[in-house]
Amino acid sequence: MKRMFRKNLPPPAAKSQQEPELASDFNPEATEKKIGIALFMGLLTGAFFAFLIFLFSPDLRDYVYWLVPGEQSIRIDADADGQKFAGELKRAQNRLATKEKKLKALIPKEPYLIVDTSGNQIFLFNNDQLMHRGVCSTGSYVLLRASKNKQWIFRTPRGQFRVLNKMKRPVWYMPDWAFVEEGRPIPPRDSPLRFEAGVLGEYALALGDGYLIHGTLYKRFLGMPVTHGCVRLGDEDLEMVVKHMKTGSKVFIY
Amino acid sequence: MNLLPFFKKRPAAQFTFIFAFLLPVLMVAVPLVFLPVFNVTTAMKSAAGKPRSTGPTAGISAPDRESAEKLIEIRIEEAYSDALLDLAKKDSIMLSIDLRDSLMSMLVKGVPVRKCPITQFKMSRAIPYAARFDTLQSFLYPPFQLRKEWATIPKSPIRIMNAPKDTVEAEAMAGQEIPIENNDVHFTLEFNRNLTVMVEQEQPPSNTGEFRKKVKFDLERIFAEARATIKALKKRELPDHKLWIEITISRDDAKAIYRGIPVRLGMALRLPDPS
Repeated sequence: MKRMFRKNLPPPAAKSQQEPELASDFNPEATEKKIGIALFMGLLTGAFFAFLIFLFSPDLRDYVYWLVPGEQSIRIDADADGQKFAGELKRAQNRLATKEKKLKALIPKEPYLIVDTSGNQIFLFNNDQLMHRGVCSTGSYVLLRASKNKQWIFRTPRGQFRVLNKMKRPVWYMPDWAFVEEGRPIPPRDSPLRFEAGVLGEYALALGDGYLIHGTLYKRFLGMPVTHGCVRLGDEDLEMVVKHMKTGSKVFIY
Repeated sequence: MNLLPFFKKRPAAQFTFIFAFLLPVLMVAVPLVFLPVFNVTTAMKSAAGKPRSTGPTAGISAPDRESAEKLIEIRIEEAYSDALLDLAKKDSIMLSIDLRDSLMSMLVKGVPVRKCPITQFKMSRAIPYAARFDTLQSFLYPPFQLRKEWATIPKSPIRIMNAPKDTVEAEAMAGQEIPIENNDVHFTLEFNRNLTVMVEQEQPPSNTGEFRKKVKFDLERIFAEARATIKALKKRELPDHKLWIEITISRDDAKAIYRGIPVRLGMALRLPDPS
């Protein structure tokens, strides 16, 4: 019996070969070190990705909608009163049509002018139809500093205006800045030096607060932002505008 | 450095790595990405589920799906028209973004003064999600109000000039060349109700300097959002889930719109056909 048991045992040589391998696998120090490295690498990579998620979280939120199940708030109810619902639909359609009419009514029925200060262009419209397109000069955005307390900014005002007055062969009343800009002394308010004829072209349309739509001697500057706030036009464009715009006509400046 | 051999046949190290990786990722992703969306969707569902008698934003019970969808569509159109009419009464210069007709328009007292064709647009997936609920009408009306704006170009191209001392100096100054602006235009408009509209120019960056400006502009946006997230977390709140629309128009149009819109701007939005 004792002999048989001995026979079943593995040969002593083979046992001695396996022992060193098992010992290295269960080395607690080495395993701890490896897990520590894995933990550090995982945290480092995770922190990097977490930072990216933090930076791009607004964009990433959008992708979450792919995971949200498709739902709708419309409740389809077979018992719902079809006629009543059709009535509600009709009323909503009528309401919408009325509002669309109101929006269309905002567009002037008579000719109106649009001035684009960014592109220095004008558009003459009649009842939502473009009649004429031309170039203009608008405010230069120059801030002229005369002293600490005295400065002017040359920009064209924006919004809705009306033609207050139409003038033929207008005479320019020169404001203070016109003298300051030319390095000349400022004359008294009623001085004849303040009046200059011919520089505003053949016609001028007053928009209020001293702002005008007028002609120019400096035609090479048309299409550029060079004025002190007025809208300068070439002769042909000015004639077209004067022909169609009446006192009270709307001017939209943006 | 190839790390794969390190993890080969080491399940304990693999598990530890995955756990350590997921820990910071989930700690950031759950409160900053998943929970804000969950909040928004829950709010939409609960608002849409209210009984009908509570007003125009209440849930719809219709005899068939087709007529119910039509009613939602009419209500959305109505919200757009109402917003335009409101703005025409109150504000002088306003903006309309019509994604159905691909048109961005600037209006003065309700009169369109500049119509800019939109060549391309993208929008947050939250918007079509909201369109499935009839709560969208309350999102579209009253009109959006501008909160903040930033761009790659200055709002007003102001040039400062000191007054000449005499006529000789004035003549010398008059001979100076007028600067011609040729900058690339990208701008972002941040409205109330968490809506952000990003406007991009259609043309590619014109030169290296302009490309750098665009990168700086995009980074500013990312950092602004990161700051907002930190601010919300400091207050122990979840960050707001922003809805965004990205619009591409021509450079001239973008410049005209950005320079033309006032700081206190109202905007009406028309969403594209849900189908």
